[in-house]
Amino acid sequence: MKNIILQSLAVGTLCTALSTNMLAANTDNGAVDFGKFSPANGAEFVEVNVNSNLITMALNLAKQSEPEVVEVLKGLKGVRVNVMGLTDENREEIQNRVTSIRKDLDTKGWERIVTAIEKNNDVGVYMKTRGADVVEGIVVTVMEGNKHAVLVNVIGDIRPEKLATIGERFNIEPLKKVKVKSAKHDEN
Amino acid sequence: MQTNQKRWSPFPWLLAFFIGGPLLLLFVILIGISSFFWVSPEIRTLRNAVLENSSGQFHRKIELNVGRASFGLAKFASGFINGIPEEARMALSSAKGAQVSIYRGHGTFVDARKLLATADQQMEKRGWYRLVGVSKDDNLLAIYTPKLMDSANDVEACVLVLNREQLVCAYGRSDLQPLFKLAMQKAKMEFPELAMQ
Repeated sequence: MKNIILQSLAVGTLCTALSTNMLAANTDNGAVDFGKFSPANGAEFVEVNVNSNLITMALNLAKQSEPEVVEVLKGLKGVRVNVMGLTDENREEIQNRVTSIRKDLDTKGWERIVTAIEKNNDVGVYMKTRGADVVEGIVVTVMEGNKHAVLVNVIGDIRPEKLATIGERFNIEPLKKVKVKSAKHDEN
Repeated sequence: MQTNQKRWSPFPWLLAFFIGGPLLLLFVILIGISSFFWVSPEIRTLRNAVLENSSGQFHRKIELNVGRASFGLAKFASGFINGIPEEARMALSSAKGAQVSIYRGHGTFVDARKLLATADQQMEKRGWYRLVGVSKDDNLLAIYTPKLMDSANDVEACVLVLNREQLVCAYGRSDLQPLFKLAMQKAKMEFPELAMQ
């Protein structure tokens, strides 16, 4: 009787562990919740949110005739871009939010692969990996002085050096300008 | 011996056919015509979001709905007309529906922040989400697509464009597959380096 209880417990524990693992594998660990942004009066505001359904659709569309497009999109689960023009009304709030997002990324296991501070521009590129090879997500944060703040989150297995290509394929202007060379992947 | 059975007469049927038939036809034609001016709930949602979050007044210029039947008819008619560019024929054959609603405002001020919040919330209830939102000065653009859309053969999108005092809400439904092929062919002709990749 005792054996049966122990065996049942062991099987139960194993099942729970496996299902938890599967659930963890299915969730988008590379997704970062930037929160809601809304346009400030007179300031520039751009928001792009490409979800996995749209990416699947683009993949289906391109798979017969455009293998190079498929190569870029493969492994991608989502793209989110926010560009906020800064005014006296929203500058402090946005700057605080970007700082808070960066702190969060630092504490949640994101690796900062690029930090560039030049004059008033402050660029940070973060990457979340699973194991040695799989990239789960990339976050780019840009503070262009007192003028603009840019937040980019690319979810899925994507190499940082392909960010600009994704920007070009989806016509996302801020991504086109991101030129990142990942030392980690260059070594592989 | 008398019977209660009446002789069958075609008269009531003929009467129903000759009077009821044209009435029914007229009714169908009226419904058909009025459907050209009836826009979908998504377009109305976007339009109402603008009207609710603006001061001043917007006046309707036009609201038009061209459905699958009309596109089918246009495609059929285009078969008898020579000289129509291949791109136009392809666009006609892949289009499944288009609607547009145009308004002009007078002394209007639109709160972009509230407008986007309202439109997002209302469209979310209908299973749509905002793919793109752009706002600068008096201009605003928002593109919505269904959350669960994953087939390129049946793509739907709603667009809201607010350009100072001009408001345009449009809806389109199309098969993207042939248009994508055509676009890639043209792009490769225009930019040979794409073809060489």
